Amino acid sequence: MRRVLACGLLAIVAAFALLLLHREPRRSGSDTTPYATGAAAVLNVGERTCQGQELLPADTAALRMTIHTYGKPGARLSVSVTGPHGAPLTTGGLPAGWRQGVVRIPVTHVSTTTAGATVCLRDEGPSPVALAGDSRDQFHTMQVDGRTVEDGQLRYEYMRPGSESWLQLLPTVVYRFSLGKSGLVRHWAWAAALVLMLFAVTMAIRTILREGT
Amino acid sequence: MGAFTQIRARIGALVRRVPKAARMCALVALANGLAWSLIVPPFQVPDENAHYAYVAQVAERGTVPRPAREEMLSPAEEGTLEAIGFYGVIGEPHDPAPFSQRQQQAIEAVARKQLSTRGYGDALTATNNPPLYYVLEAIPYKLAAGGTVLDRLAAMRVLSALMGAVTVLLVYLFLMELLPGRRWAWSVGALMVAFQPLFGFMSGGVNSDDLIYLMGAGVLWAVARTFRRGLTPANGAMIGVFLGLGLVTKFTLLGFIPAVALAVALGLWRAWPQQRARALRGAAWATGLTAAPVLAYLALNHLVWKRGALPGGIGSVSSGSATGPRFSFGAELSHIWQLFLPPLGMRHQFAYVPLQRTWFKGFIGRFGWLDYTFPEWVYSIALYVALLVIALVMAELVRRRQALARRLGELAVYALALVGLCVEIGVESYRETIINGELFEQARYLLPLLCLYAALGALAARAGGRRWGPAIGAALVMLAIGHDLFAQAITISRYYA
Repeated sequence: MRRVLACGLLAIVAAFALLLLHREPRRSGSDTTPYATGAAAVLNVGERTCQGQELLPADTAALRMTIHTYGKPGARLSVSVTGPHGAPLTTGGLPAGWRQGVVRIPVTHVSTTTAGATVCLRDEGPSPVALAGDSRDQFHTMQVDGRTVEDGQLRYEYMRPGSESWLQLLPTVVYRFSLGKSGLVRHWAWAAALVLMLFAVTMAIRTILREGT
Repeated sequence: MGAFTQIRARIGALVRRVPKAARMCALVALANGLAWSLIVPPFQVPDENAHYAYVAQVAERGTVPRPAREEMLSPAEEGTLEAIGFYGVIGEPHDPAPFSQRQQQAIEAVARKQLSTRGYGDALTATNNPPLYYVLEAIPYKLAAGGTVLDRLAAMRVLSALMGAVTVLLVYLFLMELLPGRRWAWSVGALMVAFQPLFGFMSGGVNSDDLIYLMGAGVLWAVARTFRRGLTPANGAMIGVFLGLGLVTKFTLLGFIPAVALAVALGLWRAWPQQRARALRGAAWATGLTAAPVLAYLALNHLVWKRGALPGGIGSVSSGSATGPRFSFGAELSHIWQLFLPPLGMRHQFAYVPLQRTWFKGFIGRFGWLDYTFPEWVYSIALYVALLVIALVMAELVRRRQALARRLGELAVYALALVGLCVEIGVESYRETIINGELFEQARYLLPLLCLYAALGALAARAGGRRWGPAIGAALVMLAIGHDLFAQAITISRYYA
């Protein structure tokens, strides 16, 4: 029985070590527009869409969107993000030739959070693109070539630089753990959860050893 | 003072009679439930906003909710929900919980506004529920009265975690009665429940289901005691207390009534004629204590709260929409059958297999507002593990077939509890389909049967006999721990990464 418990613990530790080392692109945030594959806006060559009231999170190095190209290679895209008073925050773009689907558009690294930002995306040609989004909420406003789109908004996800393992992301996760919770618990919630689970596992193993021998 | 000391001494004696292992298992469940309560962001447990609103109504106005013209919560709750981005996160697995200091500042700004905590009387989907859970949750709500909505919710979640711990304690006691002889098997079953991720997730949130799990475990424990020790007045009273209080928590426990009735009838039959008087007193206590809280609830509804005796009805079906499906008893029976079993020469009512998608996958893990799951391979592995456990259980039952034959009546009671609960869920599901065209069923509705899940674990471990049994039990518990930790990892990934 002790061997089974030891093997089980070892397997759990090994699985979590593997999980912690797994690398992939990570989000810095999202505008919480519902995830949908339908097009909220179509950009013809040379047209530009701008969406206001975006929360541009710190540590953003790319935008992620779902874009359709009608089966053709993707057009060249350019992105610019400005603050509430029009100050430029970051720019970026994607050369032509990408494949339709979930697309990552690199931008210059942003180190501070800005509320009320406006994200603009321009189709530089040679073909039109359809941008995924959903129906409009009460916060965001979207325009295509200066015209307000009454019933649509784009979904923007903001991505951190490169790929990161969970281990690298841990300080960020710990920080996010402290947000949006009761002031009574938010600063120590992550540590308490860890201690409680260590206690629960230790206690369970002690119980099994006590009862089984 | 003397009375107080006496009561304290009696409680102390009662606690000491509970085996140490049972208390340890309950502590494990408490720690796990509290950890879940810290991991899952506020209001991300199903219908937590509605249950919070019900508690607020009880605590702030001293009455139960009633449907308002518009479904509106208190300004304080509504403001908090908007500030934490609740409506953008639920049902959207790609959207995280608040991730920036800006959002935190918005949440704190709402808290500083000191918005009214009094609502308009509506508690959304919880409005028609009986009040017991909410009355209990009003205590932590009041204790945290000086705090924000999030502070109160955090305090209320602690009570839910405590209910989870008591549930596991009752599961242990049930196993003691059901499977005497192998102490270690009781711990195996109870710990499998303590680490069951869906149970842990629910125990970490504010939802009246938490109390129904406790009451369900209590009823089955009392029934097992009755089979082992006879239908004494004490055992009858315990059945009545748990069932009666369960019914004024949520009417889901109506599904247990046929099983309890059979248990009481068998108890009377076994006691006849030698211990007839004692058994009759036991049956009277069971019936009386089941009926008393329900009658009190009906009377309060009618006389004090001026609403229908059973608001929302039970399984009653309106005509539905003019264009939608219309009620048919045959279709209802078919619906209930197909909700749990493959269709047999019936018109298919589901485009998927509910046994696999709703119940199995849901029980293994579907969290949040049903918006995130494990990777698909986890369910495949879980299926093999489940088949292995069932094979071990069957082996143990075959090995103990003589004892099983002697206890067929008891087995029938547990089977009837399962069937009764399934029928109750099926009736509600059909009703929801007819009236709103929406899905009702979720795996968490089966958790009042956690005792039977624990029994499967304990039986599987016992199949290994004295030599291999403890090792099989240890393996099952380690699997449960790994399962639970993995569920917490995907929860952290869902909301914070």
